[in-house]
Amino acid sequence: MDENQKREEFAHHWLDAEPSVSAYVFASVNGFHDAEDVVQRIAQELARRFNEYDSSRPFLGWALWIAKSRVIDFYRTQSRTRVVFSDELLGQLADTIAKQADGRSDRREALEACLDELPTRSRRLLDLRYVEEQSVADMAREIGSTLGSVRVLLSRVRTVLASCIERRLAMEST
Amino acid sequence: MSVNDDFIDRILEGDASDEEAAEFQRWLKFPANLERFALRAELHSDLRRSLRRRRIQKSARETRIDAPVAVSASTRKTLPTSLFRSRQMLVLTATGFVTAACLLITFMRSEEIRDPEPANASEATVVSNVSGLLTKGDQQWDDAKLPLGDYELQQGLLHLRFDDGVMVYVEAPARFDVLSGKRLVLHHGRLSANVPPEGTGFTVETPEAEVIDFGTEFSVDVSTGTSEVHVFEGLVRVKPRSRSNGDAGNSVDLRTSQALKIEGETEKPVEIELATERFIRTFDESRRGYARTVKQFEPLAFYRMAIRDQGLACVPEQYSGVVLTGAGNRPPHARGVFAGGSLRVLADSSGRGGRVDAPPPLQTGQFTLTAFVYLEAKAHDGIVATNIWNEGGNFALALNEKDCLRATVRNSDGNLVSVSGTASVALQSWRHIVMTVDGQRFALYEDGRLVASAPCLPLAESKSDALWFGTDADGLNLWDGRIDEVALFDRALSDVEVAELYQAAVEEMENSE
Repeated sequence: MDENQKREEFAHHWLDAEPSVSAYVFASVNGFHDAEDVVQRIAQELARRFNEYDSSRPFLGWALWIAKSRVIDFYRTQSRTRVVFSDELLGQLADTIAKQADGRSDRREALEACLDELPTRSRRLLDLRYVEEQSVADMAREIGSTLGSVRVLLSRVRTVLASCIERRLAMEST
Repeated sequence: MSVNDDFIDRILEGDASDEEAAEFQRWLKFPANLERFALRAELHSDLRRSLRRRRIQKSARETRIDAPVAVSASTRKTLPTSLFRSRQMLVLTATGFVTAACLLITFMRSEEIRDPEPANASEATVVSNVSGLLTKGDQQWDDAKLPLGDYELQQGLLHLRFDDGVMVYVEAPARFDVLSGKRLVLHHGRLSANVPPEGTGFTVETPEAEVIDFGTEFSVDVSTGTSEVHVFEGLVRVKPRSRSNGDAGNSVDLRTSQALKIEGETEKPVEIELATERFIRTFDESRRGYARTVKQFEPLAFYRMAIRDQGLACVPEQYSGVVLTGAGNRPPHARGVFAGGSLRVLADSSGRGGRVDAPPPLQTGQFTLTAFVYLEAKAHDGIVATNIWNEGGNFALALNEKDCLRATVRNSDGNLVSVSGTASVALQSWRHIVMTVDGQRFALYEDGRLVASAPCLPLAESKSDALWFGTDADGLNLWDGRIDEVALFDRALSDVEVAELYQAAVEEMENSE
């Protein structure tokens, strides 16, 4: 396989695996920027070490194995992180994420449709948090509410989306 | 504790208290809970991605630039058609492709990419380099700083310092990948790591396993399809890497003096014998008992066979010599009898001995040579040390035709006198050898015990006859093994002193394992 073919193969594998790797890192690392940094490092390492990948095995398993090490590295550098998963738990989480990989693209597609259905106020809340990266405290100030209320509101919006995704997938499968 | 979506979200946002976080981890022990948590994390991740993408698209539309769709159109044919089940999915894939495109740059220029960590946290530093030829890509790498990336040590030895004082000794031939200041991958070759308490967690990955250190000293040897881990002190956790899914198998904790072999094919780690002699675990010579005892007897010259890149070091320095190297990968050093190095001749070494052009003169008629020898394979006439060449020189220690040690001296009459041991030298173990001439008797000791003696006149004088270790003046009669801790005296050590030296050696060997 020449270098171009290897690059192409890597790109295909990464496209498939990236949502799972991101989910794994978002589950184990708090904060968008930290999580995205870790994902980026994982991607760089996977690219650099792609010649070690045994193509007869699932790429995702290999990617999550590397991901776990990078998460542990991140923990070591962050004394302030409250939730530090044990090695064993990180392994179980990787297994779980790998098992859930099959329906992931369907769920992502359903999420797009569900986001389109959201009321404007809910969308605004999500944008403040996920795009403008405001803290819950800042959001509370901006919309004139309390910190607890904003947390609950955000959580409810996510739960509404999760239910919507489930409903859509159930409809598609019938 | 009641775990609901709100609670899970607070965990994911990092807003939970320590107590809640601990409780939550107990809750996660149930597979169904873990699945629920993983799905919620996926939702967070997807929301971040989707909402940011929507914002970018909106901005693009407002400025009449539709960059993501343009990317998707140009690359669409390279993807399986099943991915394009809807307009939304097409756009999602386009975003993924932008990410992949960025990564392709990483793939193509991986050696130039650095992690966004501080430079000193992501590099190793070369502490010393002994005849080392290090390459990165196609280029020779001479810089003392090693940025992230893949390296090949083609010859020699390398002493590297990682974060928190972790010392790593790499022996050629080896290929390794520096992943961070706390982690490296050993693709093949040998390394030893010395990890102080603050360096706990330092990790060496191999194709077969992940080796995590908990403050200790260990060595790793990787050859095709096999990884070995040897623990000399402390505790190391070895996680075999399952071939089925790339995830870690069951961890094995190795403690002092334990060793493990992981073979890719069998997947099941096997306990093996600790290889105390195989690895170079430090470049520093021990300053403990044996060396102190030798110095107390005031040698003329003491060759500790230290690993260093500038020749054959001696105390005092004026009698230093050169290491004779040949072709090949292994350096002319291997682990010494206690720690540090020894002079390695033949075996799988490129070295063919050492030479001292201006050794100390021997003019008292008395003489002692003490040394440790380690024989890899029988080699008739293999020389440990000699200064005899033609009519010059006055001592030699070598194997005879029966692979027993034979000591030879030239006496004051100009005659050569020899004494030999009666048992062939045991292979692959260190032996302590002493030869003495007191003016009346010529004696040979092995492991502190007198094995041969003969009447002998005083030693002939020598002034500036070159001294050879591991070979003769013609580059022949090579010793096949290692030579260490050679000391020369211009007096004869007594039986008691020889026994004392050997006792000091035994004690130190026991302490250094």
